[in-house]
Amino acid sequence: MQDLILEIKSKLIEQLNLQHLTPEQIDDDAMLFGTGLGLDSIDALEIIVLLDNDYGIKFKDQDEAREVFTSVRTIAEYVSKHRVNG
Amino acid sequence: MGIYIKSYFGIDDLHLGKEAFVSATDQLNEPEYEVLIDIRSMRRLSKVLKYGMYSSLEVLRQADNINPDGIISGTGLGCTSDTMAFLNNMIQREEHLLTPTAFIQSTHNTLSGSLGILLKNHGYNMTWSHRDLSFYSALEDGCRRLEAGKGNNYLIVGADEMPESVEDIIRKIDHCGDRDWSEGAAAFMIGTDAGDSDPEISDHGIVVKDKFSYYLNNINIDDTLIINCNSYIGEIDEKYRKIDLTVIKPKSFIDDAIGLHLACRILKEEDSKFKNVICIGGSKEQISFVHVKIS
Amino acid sequence: MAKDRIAITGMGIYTALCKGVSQNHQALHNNKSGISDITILQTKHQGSLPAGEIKKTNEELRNATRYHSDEKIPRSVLLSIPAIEESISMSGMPDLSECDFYYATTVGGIDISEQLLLEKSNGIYIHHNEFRYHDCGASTELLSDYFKIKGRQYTISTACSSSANAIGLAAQALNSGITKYAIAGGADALCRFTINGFNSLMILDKEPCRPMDNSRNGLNLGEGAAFLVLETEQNAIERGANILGFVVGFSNTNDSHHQTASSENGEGAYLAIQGALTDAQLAPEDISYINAHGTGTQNNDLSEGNALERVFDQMPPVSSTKSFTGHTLAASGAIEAVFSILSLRHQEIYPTLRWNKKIEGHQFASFNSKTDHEVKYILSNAFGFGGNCSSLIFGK
Repeated sequence: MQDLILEIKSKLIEQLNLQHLTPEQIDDDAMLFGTGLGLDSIDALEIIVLLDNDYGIKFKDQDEAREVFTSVRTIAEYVSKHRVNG
Repeated sequence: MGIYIKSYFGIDDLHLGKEAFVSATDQLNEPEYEVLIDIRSMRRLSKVLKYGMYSSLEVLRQADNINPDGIISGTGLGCTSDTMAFLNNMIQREEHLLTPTAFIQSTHNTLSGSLGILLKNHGYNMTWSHRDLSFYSALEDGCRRLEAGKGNNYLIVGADEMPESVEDIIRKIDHCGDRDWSEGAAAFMIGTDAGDSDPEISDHGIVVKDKFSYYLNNINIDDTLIINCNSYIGEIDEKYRKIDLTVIKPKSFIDDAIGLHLACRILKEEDSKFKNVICIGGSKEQISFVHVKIS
Repeated sequence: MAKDRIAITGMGIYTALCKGVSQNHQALHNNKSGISDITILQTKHQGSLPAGEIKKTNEELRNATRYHSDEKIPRSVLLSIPAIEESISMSGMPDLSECDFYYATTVGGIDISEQLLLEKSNGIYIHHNEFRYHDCGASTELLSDYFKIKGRQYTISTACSSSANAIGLAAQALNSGITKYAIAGGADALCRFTINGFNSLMILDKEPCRPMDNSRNGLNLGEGAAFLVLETEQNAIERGANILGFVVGFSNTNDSHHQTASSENGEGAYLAIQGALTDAQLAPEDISYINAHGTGTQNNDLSEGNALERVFDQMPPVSSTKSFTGHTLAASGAIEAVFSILSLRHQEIYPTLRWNKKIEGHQFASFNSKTDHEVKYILSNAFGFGGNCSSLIFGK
């Protein structure tokens, strides 16, 4: 799980252009949206595409996705359970 | 009622030396963007947005952070790197599973819109995109609104970027010519309040090509400097004091914004002997002029 | 603008409904939708995303113009030509030398650029010269040249509010005596860039759209062009022109909330609507009908409705004609301006097709069939990305 968490952090940094951060600076359980990392709805769309492209995960809609996107850990747990590829 | 340039800032590839001597530099005089732009917002910003936003925020800072009555931008090519990024991604992925950020940022009014959001400014917000007349259209819009009594201050910004991939294409388009292109931005806070030694926009307009020499003949040669940013009008007579940016620097569609910024700097240099600068821009058929003076 | 009314003496239009003002009127009058499967544009989304597509290939459109068959002209320009032609002809404008041109587009010539890039990626040799009409200003220059419009040229690009802004700005220029005539409007064509762009935002409906309806699920894209010929009322009367209607109010503001979403309380929209009313020296109760921006997205329709409820104690009839044409992006303001003038002239209002149930949280309902109605003043809204909010008011 830790490997997957690190992998997802690196992918988020790359996809969302978070070059000012390193994976070590992102807490596993930190809030991604709103406060914490301060991501927004555009980032949510980017993450949806990222998870589909890299792990074959498909969300029904944005609301379903947002429930998963609380923290890096919640994303990693979801990916671990539902991944189709990658 | 006069219109004054209360503050100005530009990001360009020019060096202004003594006695209004202007030369080109190899690269843009870029500032430390993080000083004014939140590092978390910067991650998404293309160059045109970075140049335009920083210039605008600096101009606002210099003008004691007045929240302007409107934000008006001019851009020839808009957010072209985001446009190309989205197009190329779309083609590569055969229209499958595309990410939205580049598309969202590709609309021409992203700069004006982003500034409106950042400044929590609900005022007038417009974007003009007409090649060499983009910035002039924006400036004219602001001036007209001030003249009509629609507010007291407007932020006017011209910005363009030129990614290598786009420059490669433009150079192969017949009527553009195989020349170098550049990028940059210049922003101005214009208002009706005459501050200490603010340059005044005493006149501006469009002259059609046939009437241009008549216009030139009526300029007072003695204390007027002409900054030419229009590559279509050919060489201006030796008798005029002039700086020809079309010869000095690579082209951009917002050269007249950069020229106006230069004009402001020259007027305000202590040892400058010029009290009037006329900035010439525009296209082959429609030549724009902006006359700025200092008393 | 409050002092002088700006007369509309000509108009022209081309949408998925039809080419021409009276033909579009017929379609509106008969509740006939222009939304269909995409068949002309070559895209992977054919069969899955409905759109307001004009069923003519570029070749067919070009053959109806003076352009040579080997010239690559942007589709948005090809759609503009018959619309501008119709507006000039209708106006009987004596002289294009004193006419300024306010043109609006978001995509310009991207339809050509995307095709060239695709061909290049497939190893096909392309002529780089064919990128020359990529930028917005190129379309304006092409059209000015085609029609020999000799006045000033302006290109506005503020996403979906572009042509509403073009009309409002032209009207203001006429009011200031800056020009004698103006042609104002805009065009956008369907292209892979916008279809894929909007699809990546997950705001396209896979079914024909249902704006202002509780079950709405997104927008359908559309394409088209529309233009108005404008002059001062005094000038129109002096030359005996037939006045079709008036532009009586205009306002542009910024929502200042998010690049692609509107604030929940519709602050920008509220300010634009209020601004237009003030500009027109009218009160909310003077408005007979509202042509909403009404895209069909969850966000816009909720936000816009909230803004309307903040302005209007008694809501006049509200509908979205994007249910007929799809969302024509930059052209939408001008297309809906033409529809508003038709409303005024025929004293009828056009529905939101497929509307059924009002949005939860709103007090007002829309309507789904053409209705005779006494129409004096119409409010027309156009809201674009970047929080750009514009409202126009048209009068008889």
